[in-house]
Amino acid sequence: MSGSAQNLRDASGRLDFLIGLVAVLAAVFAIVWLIPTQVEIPAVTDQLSPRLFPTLSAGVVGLFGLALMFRSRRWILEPGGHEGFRFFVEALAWVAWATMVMLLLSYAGFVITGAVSCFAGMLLVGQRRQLLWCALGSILLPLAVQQLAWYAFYIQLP
Amino acid sequence: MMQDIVLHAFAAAIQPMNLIFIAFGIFLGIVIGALPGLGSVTAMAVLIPLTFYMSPLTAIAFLVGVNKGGTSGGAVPAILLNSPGTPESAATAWDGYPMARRGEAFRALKFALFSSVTGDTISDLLLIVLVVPFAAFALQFGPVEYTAVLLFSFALIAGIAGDSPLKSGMAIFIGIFLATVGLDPVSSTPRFTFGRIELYDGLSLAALAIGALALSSVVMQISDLATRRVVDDFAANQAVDKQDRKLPAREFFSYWRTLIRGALIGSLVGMLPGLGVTLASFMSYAAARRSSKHKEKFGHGEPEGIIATESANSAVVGSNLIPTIALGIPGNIAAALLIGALMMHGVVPGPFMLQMHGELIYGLFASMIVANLLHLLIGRAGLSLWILFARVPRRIILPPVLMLCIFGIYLPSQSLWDVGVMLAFAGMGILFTRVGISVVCTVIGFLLGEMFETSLRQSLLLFQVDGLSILASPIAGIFLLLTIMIVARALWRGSRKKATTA
Repeated sequence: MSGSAQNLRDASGRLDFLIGLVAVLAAVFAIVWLIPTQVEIPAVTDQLSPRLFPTLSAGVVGLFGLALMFRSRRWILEPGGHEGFRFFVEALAWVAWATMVMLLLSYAGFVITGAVSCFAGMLLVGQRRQLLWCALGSILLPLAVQQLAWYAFYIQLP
Repeated sequence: MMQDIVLHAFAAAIQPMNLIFIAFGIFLGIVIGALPGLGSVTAMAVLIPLTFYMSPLTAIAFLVGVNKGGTSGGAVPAILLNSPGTPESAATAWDGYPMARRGEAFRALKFALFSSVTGDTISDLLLIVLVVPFAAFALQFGPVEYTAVLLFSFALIAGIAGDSPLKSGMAIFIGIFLATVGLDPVSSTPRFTFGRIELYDGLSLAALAIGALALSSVVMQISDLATRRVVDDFAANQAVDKQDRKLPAREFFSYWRTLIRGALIGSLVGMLPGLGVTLASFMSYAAARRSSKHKEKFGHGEPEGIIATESANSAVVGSNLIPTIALGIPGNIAAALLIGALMMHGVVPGPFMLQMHGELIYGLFASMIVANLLHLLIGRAGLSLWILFARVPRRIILPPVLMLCIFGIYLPSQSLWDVGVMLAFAGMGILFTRVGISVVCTVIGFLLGEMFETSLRQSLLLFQVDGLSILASPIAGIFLLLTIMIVARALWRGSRKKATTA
């Protein structure tokens, strides 16, 4: 195996170990706290408990996590980094974007949210030419969708 | 006698008004199915009131047309944007998008359309011939058999999706766990509702699937373009030469084994109530990959992957009507909507339907065959339009998809909650895909989770009453044995790979 391929394998092994660890912790959290507090047991029942299936599925997730950790154990102490942090930052950036979209939808409505997200998305991706046309399209498209929703389905978009 | 029935049925099917509405239904189905977030079910639900003024045959044929168009229309965003609008098109994107990226978008769309129509036609013919005996077979499926089939499907899907069966298995059970949100199906006890009324019905499948599959894929493409990890060369790659866009009949039918296998898997899965389109498409994909001589090409733009998926998911449309017509049990949501439309027109589906409304049913069968021909013509004409989108640079075409997803999710539920759920699961989709966990598996786990829970709980209750009764089912036995074989094979291959690496 070449050096770069070996580095890639090491990084992916460490990431897998981390995924397994997160899965095990999440399963323990679900079984120990989440399920007991969020699923009540009916006072009288001759059926199986409503907690059985969530516990079973969380347990299986935990088992898969453990197996993943066991399979990737030899890469824990290998030096070098993985891309886990970059992925986490990307997901956080999406959370910020999604929060802005929800706030805009609630307070400014569909047309403004659609127009802003379209145009901002185009700028973000690197569109630098014919910006006037892009802006016009970003406004007209949500307007057209809103009119379609109203006239075709009698539904008022937010 | 039979000849008279068939002739009458085709005479009714080719009435001009019937043809116009079938064509209109297919057109609407394709357009609505191609929009991320709006599938054939939404289209049918919205269009049912229109059928009130039609004759029963025209109404049902129109809705069947919408369903056929909607199922094949889902392949368009999957191939052109890597953004499957519905879970059943997710496997189409695995090979369709890589094909489109290397400049074969038109050919990929053709493969999808032709496979869809062929699979659909085979399933319609099976429906006509086997409606009564197949319904009797479907009746043999009880909770134990369903549990065994679902376990088999999970093992099969975990083996083909993602980069590791362990991570895919984990993703499936995360989906199953998410499916337990809402009221317990037996005791109606609230589970994980956190006191919110919106969660009593559970998480919306459409919001979860669109967020995790379609939106997350678009966001990742935007992120990759913004950070210059990939180049916006999709439009420039597309074949301009007409010769490169051709798909000769000989080439298409050289995959006849995959086509027929896909259609049969789709028909078989479709006739069992509840299993649905998504499972059929993934089982067919898995079967095609297993039997292929060049397995390594799957997922990198192999036409066989598209053919397997599209022939299977379209075959479900016809075969789903087997339990609907013969037993009055809807095979999926689309079939349930059809039952609603039939009842609106005074026709009660069930075992006596063929006797009491034989003319209508055979007219419907004939309309379905005619609809396939119209589907081919309308779909083929539409390809020239869809391919125009492939020529627009990604930096222009991707950003509006977020707005279309919001529209698609808000329209049926009129709830900002579901929009929030979609955005949240898009975040989960991004994280999962980046770290190599198959988000498709999570969606499938979620989709089949409730059915798995119900059938498993019923099987456990049966076991409490009579421990040996679950061992008496040969169907369940075969599927459990196959599941054990798949898991054992994965373990053996895993240990062999480890030994080779060491």
